[in-house]
Amino acid sequence: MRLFGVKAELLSEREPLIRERVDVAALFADHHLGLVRLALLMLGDLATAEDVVQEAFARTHAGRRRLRDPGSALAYVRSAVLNGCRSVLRRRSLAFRRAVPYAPPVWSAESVAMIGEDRREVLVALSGLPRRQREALVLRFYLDLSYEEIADTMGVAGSTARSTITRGLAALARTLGEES
Amino acid sequence: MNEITDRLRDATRAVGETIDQVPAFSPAAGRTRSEVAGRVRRAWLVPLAAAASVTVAVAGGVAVARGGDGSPGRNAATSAGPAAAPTFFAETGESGITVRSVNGGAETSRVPNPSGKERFVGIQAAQDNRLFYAVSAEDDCRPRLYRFTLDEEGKVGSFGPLPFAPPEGTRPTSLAVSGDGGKLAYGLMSCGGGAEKGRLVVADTVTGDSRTWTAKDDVDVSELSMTADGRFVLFARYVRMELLSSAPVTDEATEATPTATEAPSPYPIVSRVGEPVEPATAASPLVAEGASDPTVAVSPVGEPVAPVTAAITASPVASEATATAVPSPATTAEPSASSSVEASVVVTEASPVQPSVAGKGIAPQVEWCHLPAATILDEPGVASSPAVTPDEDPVEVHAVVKVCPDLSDLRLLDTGAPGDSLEQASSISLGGGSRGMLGAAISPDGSRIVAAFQNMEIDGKTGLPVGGSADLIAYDTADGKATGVVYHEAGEAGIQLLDLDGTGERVIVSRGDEIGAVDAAGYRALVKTGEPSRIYGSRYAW
Repeated sequence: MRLFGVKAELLSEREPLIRERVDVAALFADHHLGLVRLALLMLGDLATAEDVVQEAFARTHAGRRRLRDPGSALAYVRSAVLNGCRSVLRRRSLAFRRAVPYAPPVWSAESVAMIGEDRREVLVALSGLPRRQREALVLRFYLDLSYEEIADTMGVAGSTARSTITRGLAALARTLGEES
Repeated sequence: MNEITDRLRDATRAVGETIDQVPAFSPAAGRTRSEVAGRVRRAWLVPLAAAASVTVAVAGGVAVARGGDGSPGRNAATSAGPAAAPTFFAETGESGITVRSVNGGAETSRVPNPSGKERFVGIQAAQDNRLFYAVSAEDDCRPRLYRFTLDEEGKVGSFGPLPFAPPEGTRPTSLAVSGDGGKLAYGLMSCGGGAEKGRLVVADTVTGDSRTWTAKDDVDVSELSMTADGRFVLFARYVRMELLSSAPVTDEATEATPTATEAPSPYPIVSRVGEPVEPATAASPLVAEGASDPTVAVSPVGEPVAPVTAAITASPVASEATATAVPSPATTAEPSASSSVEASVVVTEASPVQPSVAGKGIAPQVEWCHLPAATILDEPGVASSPAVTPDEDPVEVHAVVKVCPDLSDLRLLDTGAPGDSLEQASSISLGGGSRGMLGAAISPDGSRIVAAFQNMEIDGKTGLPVGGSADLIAYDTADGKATGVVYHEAGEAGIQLLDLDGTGERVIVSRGDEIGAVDAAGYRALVKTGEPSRIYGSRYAW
């Protein structure tokens, strides 16, 4: 079987890559809570946030042999979580899926007791921003990532990350200013 | 601005602190996808997600007001003519309903959305391609049905709402129409967001009388299609969920991990495994006995277990894709199972002997769409796929990306039988599995079911698509066995089945950023959509 001869060669040439595999399980164990919190900020409800992170984990795990650079693994994983959040939000926005029930967001009125009205206002304003601005602001001011890290995570240029944040903050200030 | 950033920091942290523990991870507890697909995946997934998650309505309806006794006579305007090859196709989109000519795709007519709050979300055509029905969704949860006719120029005439509508507070999920337009079927879900048992309604478009079948669970009823006589309704049933990730892993995930060499290939990865194929001729007669409607370039195929039975569609296929030999549709019929609302992908390294790695227990075998990853290995360099050039570096890491939407549970309802339970609809198992489809529809004569499948190959290094295949497979409704490959094409473009025409000979599909037609001559583009991410399953009809 010529085919299998080829296959055997392929494997031997790939072995070094396999050895460098990132320990995805450890990565997630270290960052699980933070990732769920990130997803919660994007999505508003914990159950879905947990699902998204779980899914990102499974996905990353599946592609773990592709993760060759441990240094970039966390950014990769954050991207996976953000992508998962985007999928959920997109699904929620589909006309026919509006009816899909999900828990009231953390910024709904019910959560005032937990986080206070002032914070709730901020979160409502944040949730009303365009997706990219929302993501960028959360990455910047919740995760305290650098512009470069944000750019990596979001898959945009550094300058784009910076301008997105600027615009997001301005929009946020406008919204909150109008309210107060 | 500092105040804003301080408030933002404070608020986001406060939210973060509302949770302090999270459940443990389980590597196998989710659909597995790879971000490697990255950009490519995005382009693909949106339409797929849409296909899986949308649906719309259509159905035969009548503009005639309901008579005082509820039984107005059927007049010419309410009944479609004989089945005819489509000359027009209609789309519902942002700007309302657009009717286009099949020849050239030129717009012939347009109907704007009823209002800013009420939008057309689905459309269907009766068998004559002149009588159309549309369904709208409204912000206040009052769906409405519309009917219109087309003249020979494709101009809309006698447009108007039907005198009856789905119940308030519901949202139609999908619609189907009988051949003469006299009956319409639609699925219903709660509009307000509450859980609601899945319902399927069949309404008489003349009298407005309807009959409802109710599922015992909170399921979505979607992807409806109806036989010409209005008796049988094919639909997909799936459990509604936000995300699949917490769904239980099926038994398959814990099964012994097959090795690449011993695992049966459950998906048409012939282009990768390089098995010898025997070309068959196209346009062979449909195998289904007694099928009254001729079928599209169908090639006879072997038993579902036959490893490879090749067929070639006699099709001048579009541009970059080329018709090639395909494996038995049976192998196509068994891909993936996922009730996920979104397509998912997995990327594996192009290691045909991956089990020597994955099988060592280094990590639990990744399972995707109920297929162990090891069974969907890519084999670059030996592929017969034209998209994979032979001179590519064989060490290049390729990945197989497959679409795994949630048409996992096809059912066939006999509306001629008594009863009001949707559970009485019989489960349709296509060749051992109806999973991983991108649309399915029953033929007007009811003899067969056509379903679309696809896979896709991605260069793991560049993330660019390098190949794949798309298949439309016909199955015998009676036994679920594959009867032929309606269409196959190699290449990265996937094909989503949107609608069958009144004759059952032509399929309108979405392919990349095109809406196209598949018939005995193969595939041809009808119109460019310009936005591949926005194709909803029931947005197009002919």
